[in-house]
Amino acid sequence: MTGVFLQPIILISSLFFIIILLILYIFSKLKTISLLKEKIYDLNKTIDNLDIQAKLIVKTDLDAKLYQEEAEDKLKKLILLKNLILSLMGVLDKEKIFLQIDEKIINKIGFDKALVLSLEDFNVKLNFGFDKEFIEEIKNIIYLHKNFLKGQFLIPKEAKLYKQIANKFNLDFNIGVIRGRENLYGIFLLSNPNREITFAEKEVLTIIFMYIGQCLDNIKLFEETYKMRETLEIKIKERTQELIKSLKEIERINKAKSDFISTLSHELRTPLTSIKGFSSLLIENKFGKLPLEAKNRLEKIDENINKLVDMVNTLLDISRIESKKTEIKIAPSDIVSLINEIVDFLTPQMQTKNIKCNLELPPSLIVYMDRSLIERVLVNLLNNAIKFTQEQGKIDIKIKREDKSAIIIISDTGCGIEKENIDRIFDEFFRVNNPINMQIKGSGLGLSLVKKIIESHKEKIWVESEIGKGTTFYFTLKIKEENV
Amino acid sequence: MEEFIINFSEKETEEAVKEISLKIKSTFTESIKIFFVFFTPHYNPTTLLENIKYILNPEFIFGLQTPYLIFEDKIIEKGLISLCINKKIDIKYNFIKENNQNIIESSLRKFSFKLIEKKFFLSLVSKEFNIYEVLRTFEWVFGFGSNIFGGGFLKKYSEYPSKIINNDINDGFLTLALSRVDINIYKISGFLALGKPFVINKVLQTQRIINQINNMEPIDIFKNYFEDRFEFLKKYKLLNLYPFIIKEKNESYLISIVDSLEDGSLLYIGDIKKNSKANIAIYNPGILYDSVKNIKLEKDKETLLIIINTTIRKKILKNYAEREISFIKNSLPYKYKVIGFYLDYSFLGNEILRRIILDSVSLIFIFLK
Repeated sequence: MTGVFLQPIILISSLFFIIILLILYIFSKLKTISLLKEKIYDLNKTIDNLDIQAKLIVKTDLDAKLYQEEAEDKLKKLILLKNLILSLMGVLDKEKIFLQIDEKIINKIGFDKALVLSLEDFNVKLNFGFDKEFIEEIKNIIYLHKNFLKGQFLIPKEAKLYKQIANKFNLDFNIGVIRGRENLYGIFLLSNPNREITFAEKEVLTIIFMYIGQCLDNIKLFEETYKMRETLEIKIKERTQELIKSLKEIERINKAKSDFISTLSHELRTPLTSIKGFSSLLIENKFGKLPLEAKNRLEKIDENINKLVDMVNTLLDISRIESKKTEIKIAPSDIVSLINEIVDFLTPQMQTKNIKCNLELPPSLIVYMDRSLIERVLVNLLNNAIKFTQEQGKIDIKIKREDKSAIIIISDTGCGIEKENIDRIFDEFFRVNNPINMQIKGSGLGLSLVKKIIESHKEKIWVESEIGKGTTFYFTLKIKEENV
Repeated sequence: MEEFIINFSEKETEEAVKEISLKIKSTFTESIKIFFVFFTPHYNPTTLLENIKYILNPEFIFGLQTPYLIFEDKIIEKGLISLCINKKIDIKYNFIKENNQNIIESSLRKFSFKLIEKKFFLSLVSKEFNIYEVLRTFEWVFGFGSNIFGGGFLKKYSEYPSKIINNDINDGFLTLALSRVDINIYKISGFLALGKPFVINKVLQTQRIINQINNMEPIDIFKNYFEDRFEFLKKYKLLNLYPFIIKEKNESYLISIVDSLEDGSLLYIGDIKKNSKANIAIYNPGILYDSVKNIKLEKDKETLLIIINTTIRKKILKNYAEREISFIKNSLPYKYKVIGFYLDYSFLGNEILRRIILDSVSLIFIFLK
């Protein structure tokens, strides 16, 4: 009975317990769901954040790609520019300038058609892809706007010229002016229907136009310089020919003069010898005693004949040396002993005028010389010194060694030579025109002969002089090697 | 004796054939059995074939015109590459010139009957053929194993036909079945998936058009990501720089967006199933680096790597395209010989996804031993 009564109670309490458990379970699940929802929310947030980051990444990637592409494109164009400049660098013919630009280069710059029109003769210098009709029309339009082109490199799209071409041909193009500093050379028309050119491409085009203009300027300058040089060379050649001709003429005249003097001297010597012989015999009374006055006159004649013979002989010597008829025998010889001999020979003359002669000479010095000719040089120079040095004067003779040469120095304390005459004293028949000189006899040939002799030795002679103080003659002779 | 002799010439047809034949004959004195030639559109295949037959006279000739070539670490824009195989490879081929579904199916069936040994199939499809129909037929006849690979063109690159097979020069659908050769094939993309996955709700596969993404106009996906730069991207037709990456059963493949249409739909090249989940992707050389390093290669000097690259990948990578090839060449163990050619798209059988996957961005590496 009790069991029957208890059964529903147990059942109800069990049910109640199960309901409680279920409620607890549902609560726990609801909590889990809520937690999961939170997690899902967080995950969605993370994904959204990732998506925001993805946006940033793709945009940055696009920018980077575009920058990189632009940079690489610029680099490519720079390389192209460098290669183009290199290929144009060596071109010195303006007709060949545009041959360096081929279709590949045009394509690489970013165009498919190109035209270069000369503004000098309106000839087509380069054409890729344009037909004849188009070119003729372009020529006409450019001709009308030629003045506008000055000062431009890339024609702006707002320009009348640009609009006229664009409207007429419905063409997308770029037009550049090839110009130098002063000259307009041509126009460069480039077309690409598919796209607009970038700023960088415009810059590249401008550089190309400028560089071609500069090249054409250089070629022009080169051509002008070349022509000038050619003209100058022709002129130099003409002048040289004239000089050679004049030189030959001078040589011919000189030879004629030498021949004339030589002939004349020979011709004069025979009658002079005869005259001198007879005058000597007459003076010596071989043809009977002469009256005193006649004898005096005759002695004057004899004296002048002697001068004339001397002059003729000197002239003959000069002409022989000039015409190289005199054989010059250069050999080692002691110049000191030669000077001593000549000083000894001329001492009486110096003593007559009470002239003191100082010698500063080494004991001996072997030089290369034709002894007999140098003897004449020394005699002439010393004779001159004696002639022009007043009484109580002084003559110095020195030898100075310089490198491989001996310089023989003969100075006097004579009246000296004016500066304006100093360069002419070695000229034939030149005599200084002053009162002192007029009193001293001379032919004006002695120093000329001296110079000819020294020059025939391939040596030098010069003179220094000061009015009132004296004159110094210098001449050189080569010292024999072992004496150097 | 070398098993794979590769040579390159950029001279004109006759001179180029002479140059490569001289190089071949300097290392290979026997008669040539198998001769592959890949050439850019500058070459006339008729003249090329005449010269090859006259100068080299190989037993089997296969030629393919391609917009660009890969030779070692360079991309070649003009030239030809020859591959002379000194190995007893068995090659059978099927050349379908007419775009007719029945002919394609019956021709492939007949071809399958001729094949006894296990084969690798290299298929090349011209623009006249509907690639999706071709691939479905191919799957029907030969299955979808990873031994099936190839690609094709979406346009013609020259006035000349693109394929040479022995005496036959034509466009069309060419399949080479190769046996007695050890081939390993890998697909590498180097692209990284970004952002939230989106669902491609509606797609017209035969017309290669995506009609709806996330129940919206497909173009909105680009608007969402590129915001203020979107108009620039659209104006300069740069949508192809950011392909979609689809992940399916742990396998991923890329879809290239070729253009956008006025109604906001997108024109694509690739393999999309309705309701596929995709992400926008960007090129990441690091991923390519990891993928190349993960290829398990045997250190065998006699291995030749043939790369099937795509013109779209070249457009995406631009100047980096050549750097990528150079990187691949230099990452390989030993100095494997590397050649390659470009197609508008490639495909590779996928046993996990149980179909041949069309991909216009990824690289296919074919290691020949």
